[in-house]
Amino acid sequence: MRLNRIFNLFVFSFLLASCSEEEPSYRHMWQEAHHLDEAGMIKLYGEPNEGSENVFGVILEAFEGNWDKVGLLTEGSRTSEIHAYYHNLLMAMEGHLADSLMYYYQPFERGLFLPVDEKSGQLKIAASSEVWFRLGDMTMAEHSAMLAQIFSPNHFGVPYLKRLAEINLVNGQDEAARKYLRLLSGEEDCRDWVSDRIPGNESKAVKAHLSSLRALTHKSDMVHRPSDYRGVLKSLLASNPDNALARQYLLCLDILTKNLEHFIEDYDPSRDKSRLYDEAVLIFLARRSAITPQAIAHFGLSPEVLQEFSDYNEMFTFNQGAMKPMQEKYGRTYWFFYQYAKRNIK
Amino acid sequence: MAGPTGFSINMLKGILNNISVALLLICLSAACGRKNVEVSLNRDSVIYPDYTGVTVPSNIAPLNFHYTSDGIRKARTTVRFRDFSLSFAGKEVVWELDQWRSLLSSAEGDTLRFASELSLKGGRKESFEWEIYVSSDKIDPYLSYRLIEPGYEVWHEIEIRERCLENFDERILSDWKNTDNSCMNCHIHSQARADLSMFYVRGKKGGAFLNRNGEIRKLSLNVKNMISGTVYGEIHPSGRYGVFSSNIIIPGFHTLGSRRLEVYDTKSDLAIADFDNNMMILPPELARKDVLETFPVFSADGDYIYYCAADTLPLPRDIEKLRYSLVRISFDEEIGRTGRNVEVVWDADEHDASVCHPKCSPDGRWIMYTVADYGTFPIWHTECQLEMMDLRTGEIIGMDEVNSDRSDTYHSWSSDSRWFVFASKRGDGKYGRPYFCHVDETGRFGKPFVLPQKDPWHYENSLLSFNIPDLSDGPVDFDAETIGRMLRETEAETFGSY
Repeated sequence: MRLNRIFNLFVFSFLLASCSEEEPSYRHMWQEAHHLDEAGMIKLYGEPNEGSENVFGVILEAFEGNWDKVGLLTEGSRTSEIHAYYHNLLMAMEGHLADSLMYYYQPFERGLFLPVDEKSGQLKIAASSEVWFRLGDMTMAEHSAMLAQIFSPNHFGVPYLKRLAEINLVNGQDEAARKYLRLLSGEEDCRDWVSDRIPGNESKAVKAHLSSLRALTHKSDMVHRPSDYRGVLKSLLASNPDNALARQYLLCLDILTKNLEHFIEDYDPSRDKSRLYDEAVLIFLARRSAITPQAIAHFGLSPEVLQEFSDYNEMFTFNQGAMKPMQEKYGRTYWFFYQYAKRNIK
Repeated sequence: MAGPTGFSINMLKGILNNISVALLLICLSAACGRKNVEVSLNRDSVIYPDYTGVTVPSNIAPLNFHYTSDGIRKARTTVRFRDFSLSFAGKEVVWELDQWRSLLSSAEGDTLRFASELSLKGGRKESFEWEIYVSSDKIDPYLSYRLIEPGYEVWHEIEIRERCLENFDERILSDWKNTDNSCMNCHIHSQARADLSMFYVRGKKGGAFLNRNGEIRKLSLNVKNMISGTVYGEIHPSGRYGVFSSNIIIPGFHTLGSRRLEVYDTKSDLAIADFDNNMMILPPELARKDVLETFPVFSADGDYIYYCAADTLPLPRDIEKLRYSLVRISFDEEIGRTGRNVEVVWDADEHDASVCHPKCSPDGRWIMYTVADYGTFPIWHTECQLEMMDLRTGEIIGMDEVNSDRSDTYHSWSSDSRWFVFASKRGDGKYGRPYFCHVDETGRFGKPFVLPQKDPWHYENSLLSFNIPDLSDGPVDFDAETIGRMLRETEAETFGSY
């Protein structure tokens, strides 16, 4: 009887051990997804460290749509373009981009869109399709995903193939989607993912997911330069005025690039509500000496924000523009960003 | 009942039961991880590559293929020609090179007959017969192309390769490893001559690499008054001249996901390079400010320059109104001068379309070009098609049997004018592949076939596009190391102008 119990214990310990395997590190997941060996990983990314583990994690979790994990991985005071990019996207998906914008590192428009070229570096290129995909611009998303594939060490990456398959499903280009799905079907961990996406035989959830993405896409055509983010966002909004992500991105792009003429042109005070927008409006009006009762009423500016703007200007004059005291009190305002944030990128 | 060791039959049964349960659980967990997914590629043809009904040259490499039907349990393929018969068992048909060669050489001008029998899931059976016509016109045995992922405007680790069409041998003519990951533009031969070709390696130490008379030269084809270095062009049959465009090229993205990329020129002119005297000739007729001139080529005898021309427009706003005509101007090889009169050969207004990539057949009979709705970069235009004109009569020959519902473009002729190769995105719409097509002396086309590969699944597994496939009558006399060394060590020859 005791031997039987010992054996039972052995069997269950074995099963328990096989079930409770330690979660693989993001580095390991990245390695698997790119078909890299350990030597290749070290050559490309160096020895394992917390920083790269975090970046691998945030990119991979975003690809998988695990936004709660993206939130955890981007929280804190991180000052990288990749973290700002994902943090902003997460905030926008939750409808809080404007309210959270000044509470995080903002590398100007690069916190919204990661430009891709041969100098961008593999990790930024790998990340760059996410925003376009969520916004509904499948051309730019595909371009970025293709480049992510191209700049991967073996010109191969499971996340990019998945993205390319989904983009082609959204675009109704089933033959291309099938090509990518077929390649993915050879990957051990992708088979369920693939079987849910066979064109004409998609799972209910995938159908709904693709349909919601399709609803966001452009309905009319124009040709634009790769960096014409504003033109693309306006086109997305013309196709679908309810594209909340595109609306937040458009306004915050104007704000981060300090183009307040564009901002006022794009801003609708009856629909876009945020303290950030009020702060931007006040700079725009002040620069034109146009803070009039009519303007205040038109933009719905509260007495509190008017008073605080007045205080800001008083303190600025009092301190003769010294940055430190201004940052301590107003570091989370757009006024401070507008006045002090400098580009350190060409 | 327990024995002296305390071990009983019941305990043994218990242990065996536990072992069974454990094994069952382990097997189940393993089985869960091995779920197979069959992704059908939904091909129009039951075999891929689709070699049914194609016309092939007798010197082509084996046409290996696989069946595409879902749920194939067994497949049998029988090939018959006169008293020859050979059967293949299995989903893939892969030939022995010697066997294939001997069959094709005996079948020149005749037809190979295939019988396919498939046993499918659920006990269904399918059988069908098909043919391959073996032309007695041999094809030039080499093809060069640039292998690149279709990444639109950014490159990384690209290569120009040369493939022997009579087997599966392939070698690298220039690659990223030897050129510091520089961009390379495609390799073109003059009338499919292995001893007369050129291509560019871009970047600081780059230049145009001219392969002529057994010598490789590195040239800087950019002089004052040209709007850029040379871009598209062709070498004169004499070898002495090259005609080129210089372009300000702008890439733009379509917002509609299915249209992808548009590339347009905001400025473009033509220039002629005199390779003997290192001079660029800049005729004012070919550099008009109000006209975009591009894609110049020589006629087969070298007496004309054919090119595409369009009126300038505000771009990209009016991109859909940008239509290029095919025009020509005379060229006097003796004095290296163009004539004054530009003749319209194919009128964009008349056809309400735009033409690009003209290429004259070496026998002087035909000019083939690509027609798209608008613009100058049709590789993502699904409507773009190849078209051919009889230069003796001006008659336009439709190419419906050659074209597909995806982009078909960037063709080149064989030296005997009986074959041409073109890049087609037929199928998945993303990846360009070289297709070969026979054309007889009356302008009738055979069904095109894709470049054969040793692995019948090659194209399904590849994420690379074949850019600017160009035929050649032999292997060129340089390799990637030569180019790399010249890139590093040789200064580019400079040119003057008049």
